Amino acid sequence: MTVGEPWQDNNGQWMVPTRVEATGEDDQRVVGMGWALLTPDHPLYDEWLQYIRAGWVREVDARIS
Amino acid sequence: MARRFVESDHPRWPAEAPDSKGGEFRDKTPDIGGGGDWADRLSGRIGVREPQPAGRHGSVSTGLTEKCPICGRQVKVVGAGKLSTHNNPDTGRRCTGSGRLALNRPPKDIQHAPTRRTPGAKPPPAKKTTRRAVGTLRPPPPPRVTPGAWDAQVTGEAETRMANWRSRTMHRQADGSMYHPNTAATRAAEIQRLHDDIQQAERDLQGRRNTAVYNVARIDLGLKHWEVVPYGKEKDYADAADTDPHVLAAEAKLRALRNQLDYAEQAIESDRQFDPTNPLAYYGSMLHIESNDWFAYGVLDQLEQRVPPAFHRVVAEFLAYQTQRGNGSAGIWIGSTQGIRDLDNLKRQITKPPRGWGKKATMATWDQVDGVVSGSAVYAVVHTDNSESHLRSRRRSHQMAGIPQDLAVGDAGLHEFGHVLDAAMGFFNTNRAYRWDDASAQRKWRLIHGRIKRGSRRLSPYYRQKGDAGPEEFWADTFFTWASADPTPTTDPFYAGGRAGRAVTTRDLLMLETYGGQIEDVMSISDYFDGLHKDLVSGRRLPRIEQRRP
Repeated sequence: MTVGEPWQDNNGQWMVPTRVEATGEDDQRVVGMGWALLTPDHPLYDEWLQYIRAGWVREVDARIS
Repeated sequence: MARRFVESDHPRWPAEAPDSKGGEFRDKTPDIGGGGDWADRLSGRIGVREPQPAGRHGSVSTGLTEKCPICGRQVKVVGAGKLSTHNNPDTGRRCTGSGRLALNRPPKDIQHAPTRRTPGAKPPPAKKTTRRAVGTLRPPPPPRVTPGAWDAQVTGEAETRMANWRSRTMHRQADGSMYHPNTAATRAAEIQRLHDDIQQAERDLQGRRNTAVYNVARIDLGLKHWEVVPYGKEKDYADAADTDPHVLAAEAKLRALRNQLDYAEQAIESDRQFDPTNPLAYYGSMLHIESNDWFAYGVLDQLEQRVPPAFHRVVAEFLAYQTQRGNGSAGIWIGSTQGIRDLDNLKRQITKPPRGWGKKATMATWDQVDGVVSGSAVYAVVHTDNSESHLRSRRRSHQMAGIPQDLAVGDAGLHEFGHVLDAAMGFFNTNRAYRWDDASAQRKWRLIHGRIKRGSRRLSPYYRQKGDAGPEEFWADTFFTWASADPTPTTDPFYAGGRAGRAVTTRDLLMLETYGGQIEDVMSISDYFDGLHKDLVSGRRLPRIEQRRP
């Protein structure tokens, strides 16, 4: 019951939840949540890699086949 | 205030005391006339004097005594013809002979104690309990439906519900008014208090300005502190007050009070009654349902069924407040379009590319974003390919939370709702120039977040982000978990007897499963949201100021 867990797509690549920020109209802060491919340029690449390698990802087995 | 009776103030005689006094109260006096033991004295002292028959308290004194067949003690015979309640001197406990029928029967004309119920009178009818629709009441559960594909049009019962949501929202006039969670009387008192505080703060500011000016003038003119600055000379030093730290602090305080007064005075009574059985109707035209498919149905169903109505109320009021403050596009958008910017009005809101996706920006398009909150006032959620894959990967946690798999589509919807609620439950922060901060910036929440962060090795890096990002995301997601799970006590024998002074619930276990750490730490999360909810329902919550640390 969380959106904060990564999952693997059909190609075996890891998708991780990513917080996205932008500046909207009138300098309003825009904060969003989406899914990004885990690549070395991801801001939290090391943290996610450690998390995945430690086996702490849950419920990935039930992903779409 | 009358002092409450505690038994330790009235010691008993020990079991081996002479004269069969074992176990009796030491300060009990002989039964004389209409009474006079410690209980009567206490009653008299606190002003309780009920008319009692002779013999008092149901036991009518007969003057007869008899030997108890159990303990051999000589005990009184009460008016009902039974042995009086007494203690066994051997054990010091109540004798089982108490209340036995006595051989010495009292005379027939003895005055009996009045019975509680008058003979022949009908007992009063049992009080009917009717549950009124109050803030804690959740809407009735809807009929189960079997959804089709997420982008297919809704059918059957779901179509009826969607039509209901639409008719109650889309065709209403825009709610440009700010609702306040408190009653009109409370708000009037609050406004009066703010007016008083502002007058006080203005006087304080003037005093501090004078002090600053005269201090600088004295130093500049070389005067001793008891010497008076010549009349009119202080005008030359009027600028000195502009940089004085005490003056600046007083100005900030005055500004904050005026902000609060502005907030409170714009509080207009709602033009409609809040109906907790239909909480989404309270949003009025601020709720935009952009599509008529199963995705939108799933999100709306989650919002209606999972979120306590009191939270919808406070979010609607916050959005209305934002509207009145000039952010005319406040509202909630739900749809299953291709990208979040395709939702009405958001293209104008979200003009720049997103940050936070890495240097290559391989996925840096708004089409990959499930949900967004803009300026704390716009909350939008859409359906993307990723969100469906993610949904299917979350099958077990939905099962654990008791959410039917076919309706568990509101993940991003509830998460983004958490962000808006976080802003709506905010406060004026004295540590940050009286800026309106989210609830997740509060020290209380930072402590909870810090404890989980330190205590759980497997907390997702998503909640470990630096700055405000980690606590904010953690707040939104824990609210989502808290709202989704069932608060019934667990039957797990491992947690029998509870932890941290209360019973462990299945909600706590779901939190533990999701975030890791110690059970006491995740229980503090549940307690935090329970407290917020309780404050809202009881109407205690006001725009509040975070106190400066001591």
